[in-house]
Formats: sequence, structure tokens, C-alpha cells
Amino acid sequence: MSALRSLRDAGLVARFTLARAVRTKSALALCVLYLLASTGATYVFTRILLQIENETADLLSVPRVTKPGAMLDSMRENGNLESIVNGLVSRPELAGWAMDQPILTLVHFWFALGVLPFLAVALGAEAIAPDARDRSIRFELVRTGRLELVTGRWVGQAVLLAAGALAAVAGTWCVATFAMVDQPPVRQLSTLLEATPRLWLWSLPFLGLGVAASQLTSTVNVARSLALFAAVLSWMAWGGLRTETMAEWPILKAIAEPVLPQTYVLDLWGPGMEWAASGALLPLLGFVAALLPWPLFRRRNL
Amino acid sequence: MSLDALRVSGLRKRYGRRAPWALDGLDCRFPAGALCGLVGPNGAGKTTLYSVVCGFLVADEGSVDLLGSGPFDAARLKGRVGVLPQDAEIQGKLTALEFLHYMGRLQGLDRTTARSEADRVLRGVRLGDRRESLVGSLSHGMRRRLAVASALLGSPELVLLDEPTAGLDPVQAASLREELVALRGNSTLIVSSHNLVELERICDWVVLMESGRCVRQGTVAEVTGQRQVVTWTLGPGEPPLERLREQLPGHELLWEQREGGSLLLHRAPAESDLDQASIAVAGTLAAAGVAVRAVQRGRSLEESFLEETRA
Repeated sequence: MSALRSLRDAGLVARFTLARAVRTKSALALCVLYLLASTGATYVFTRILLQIENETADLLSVPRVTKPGAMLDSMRENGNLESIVNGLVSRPELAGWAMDQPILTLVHFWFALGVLPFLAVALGAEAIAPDARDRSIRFELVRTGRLELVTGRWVGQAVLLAAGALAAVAGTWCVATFAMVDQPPVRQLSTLLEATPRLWLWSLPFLGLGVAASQLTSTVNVARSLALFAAVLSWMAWGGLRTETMAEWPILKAIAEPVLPQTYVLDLWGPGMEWAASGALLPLLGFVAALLPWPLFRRRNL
Repeated sequence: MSLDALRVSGLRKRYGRRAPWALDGLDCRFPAGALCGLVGPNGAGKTTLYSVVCGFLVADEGSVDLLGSGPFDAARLKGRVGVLPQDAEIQGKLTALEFLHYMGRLQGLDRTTARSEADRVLRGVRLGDRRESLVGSLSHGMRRRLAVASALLGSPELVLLDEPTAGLDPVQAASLREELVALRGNSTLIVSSHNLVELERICDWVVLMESGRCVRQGTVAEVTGQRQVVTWTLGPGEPPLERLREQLPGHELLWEQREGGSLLLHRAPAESDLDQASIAVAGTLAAAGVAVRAVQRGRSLEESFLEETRA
């Protein structure tokens, strides 16, 4: 199939995947779910922060507050917060950049880094499996190739994830604006929007794992379990590679590290467009992950 | 250019290493431009054949030649093959028009053509008034007709229909038959069905399958023996069998008594003139005073099928 025709077909499949998700309300469910989770997480953070600030106020015998944020601002000013963040990421330039971000943007970022991969895995598992189960995939397979189908599904679901990631911005923005002090709404929104493409890129390799698992089975839950297992395995592998023992296996480390999305996670933070190079690798990793079962899927009985 | 729209050779397929062969060395052909019937009992391998031919299943052995282009390849045969899979569901949350429009676009039609083709085939299967209905709201029969419509989209050269009239009421089935007959000559149609009367009425070519093998194939006239076999339903009295055998050497004549009459089965050799032989039989019977109540040329497709599968 000519490359152009393949791209056209993949585009059609992607558009259909999106349209179907909108029609079946699964897109809405995804956005609402992620919006609620993100809003909930940031709101819980503000409540904990409020509790800590008021406990501290009681200790210092100063008036309690109704909205949190003031103590964080003073921690930011005296450099304590930067020390904490630096201790977490071990990169001074990133800690410096983080100090310029509104605190809820960082919470939102942190929460999404942990949750989006699992959302992506769950979504990706629906790419092929249900269509193989009810055999509706046959209507498409007689008209386009399996590669175009997988590519189109992956792209369509990637756009869905982007919509979900954008939707979550609204929740965090509302929490920051209405539940915290001194959070300029415009600045808050612009930093959240700036973070969203990075979060979206981060989710794509995991979406690829979901799409890959979906090609191996006709049962969505089996696909989800497989993909979840693979995602957890990738975290374990990444953790394993950072142990001192792995220093004795430099070749293995050199081979394994570039293919693990976690390797690039800290690169996504930072000022300017320095994150873009690592960010650009993530869709590639995602697409390669989606095609991992290709030798099996191309000959699978559907 | 091959004269056959579809030819399969030595095709073997089974679902698991210990499972019996669903297709067991199948050899058959379907001539281009013909309306072909694929006949076989449940488990004969008809659906497996369709699935292998369309690339849904991978054959274990053998070869498939589709439209002279080799095995199925979605890119090479884009828009040239239409398929009605037997048990594939259509997404219920799409409208009939959306589904067909997407299918049309995917098989290479531009936006406008896909739209007009979708309208055309919807009218063809009498779903023109349900074009904006969600597929999930359509009855089983309507969804079946919509699936048939998707197979006819863009007037493909080869259309494979697996049990197209299953689940349709008699009126819908008759209307679909008319639609298929109207396509004769423009496209090659391969239709599987248990309704042998239906296939005998509309098909030019039939392939009889059993246990994953082809037991007989040919034109309907050949398979039903219309060029060799005549069944005479006679009144009371014994026909002059000896005299007939003297007149028609090499012909097979079997006589069977029935209540109030008898049946005479006349099977002529392949190269003989059955019309002349029938004139001789009629004359001899009349001379012997045996009344002829009915004459049937050939057997029904059902009788032929039963005879072949019992053999």
C-alpha cells in the first residue's frame, strides 16, 4: 500500500475511533473521570495544606487562615521549598524552574505523571479487543490493512487522551482559583496549559502498551490486565536500572534505559523548550510499543 | 486476466492442532461474472472458506487466487471485493448512513461518492427511509440488510455473501434475491445459503461442500443433471423397460413402483442427445399405453446435494 494511502486510511480510522468514542459517550466518560480524579487530588492537596498551615499557625500563635497557600509562599521565598524539590528530583535547574510554577500546577503535573499512564493503558486496551470479539473489525479489515487499523486506533485514542488531559486543566484551575490564596488565574491557566502537552506525550508510550495488549486478545479486561502488567513491569525495570547493582551491567543499562519512558520523565520538566527533544521520543516509543505484537497480530485469526 | 473470480487449491484450515480440519484440501473455482452458490451442511466449512478468502483467517496450507491477483490483500484489492461476514456485528451507535459512509471512505471512495453510494445501496436494500436511524435501533433483519448493503458499496467486482437471507422474512428475502439477480453480469457474486431452492433459482454455478471438501462443482444444469437425467412420473401399468433399453443402449433406466403409479428415472450418457432420447421414451410409453403424468428434467439441487453427500 502506498504510504500516502496508508496514512489516509490511518487518518480515517483515527477519525472514526474518535467519532465512535464521542457517540458512545466513552470519550465523555474518560474526560469526566480524569477531570474528577485530577480535581479531587488537587482539592485534597489544598485541604491537607490548609490543615498544616493552621496547625503551624496554632503553634506560632498567629491567626488561622481559611484558604491555604500563604505558608508555601513564604517557604518559596526563603528557599526551603526549592531545597525540598531539589531533594526529590536531584536537578537544581529543575527545582529552580519548579519554584516559578504555581504550586497547584506542580501538584497537577505530579498527579498526572502517576495517573495518566494507567488511564492510557485502560483506554488503549479497548483499541482492538472489543471489535475482534464482536467481529465488527471484519468490516474494516476487508477495506484496509491491519497496520493502518492499529495506527489509526492508536492515533484516535491519543487524541482522546489529549482531550482528557485538557479537561483536567479546568478542574485544577477552579481549585487553584477558588480554594487557594494568591493564585493569579491567568498565570495559573497558562502554566497548566503549558504542562498539558508534556503530560499528554508522557502518556503515549503507555497508550501504546494498551493498544499492543488489545491486539493479543478479544477480551478487554484481559488486555487491560496485560497492559497494566507491562506498565508496572516498566516501572520496576526503571527502578531496577537505577540500583547500584546495575552499574556492573553497563551494556544492559545502555540498551534498556532508552526504551523505558520513565527515563524521560524528568526531562519533561524544565523551562523553555528543552523538554521537546525527549518529548518527541515518547510518541515514537508509544508507536513502537503499539506495534510490538505485530508479528502475531498480522497473522492472527480475526 | 483469470477467467475465475476466485480459485482455491488444496486449502486446509483447522482451529487448533488437535481440531478436525474445517477445510480439508478444498479445491474449487468460481467463474467471473457468475452468480455462484456455495452449498453445504452446517460445519461444511463455508464460513471458514469466506474468512480465509478475505484474510480474516490464515490458512494452514493451500492457495487462494482472488480476481487473478493472488491471495487477499486489502491494499491491492481495495474496493474490488465486498463481503458480508456471517456473524459480524455493526457498531450500534452509528447511523446506517455514517456506517456506510465510513466503509465507503475506507475502501477508497471520495467523500461525495461515498455518500451517494451509501444512499444508493441503502435504497437497494430498502433501507432508504432508515438512513439516519442508529444501527442499534434497527431490527435484526434490517441490520442484516445493512450489512449486505456494505458488501455492495462501490459495486465491487467480487461480492461474497455468507447466508445473506438468514433471519430475513420471506418478503425481505425475495427482495434481496431480486437485488442479487440484478447484479448478475456486473459483479461475481458468491452466495452461501441453506436454502437450496433459492440458490437453484438464482445461481449459474454451484459448489457443493462437505466436511471441508468440494464434493461437486459446476453449472446448476450440470450439478442437477439437467443434461443427463429425466424423471418420468407414470400412471398405472408397467413400462416396456426391455424395449426402451434396446432403443437406448448405454442409457440407465430405473423403474420404481409407487402407489397408483410408478417413477421412471432415465439417465443418459454424457454425450448423448437427451431431447431425442426423451422423444423415444415418450413414444414407447405411449405405444405401451402407459400414461405420463409428469416429466422433470434433472433433479432438484437439494436431491443432487443429498445424493452427492451420501455417496
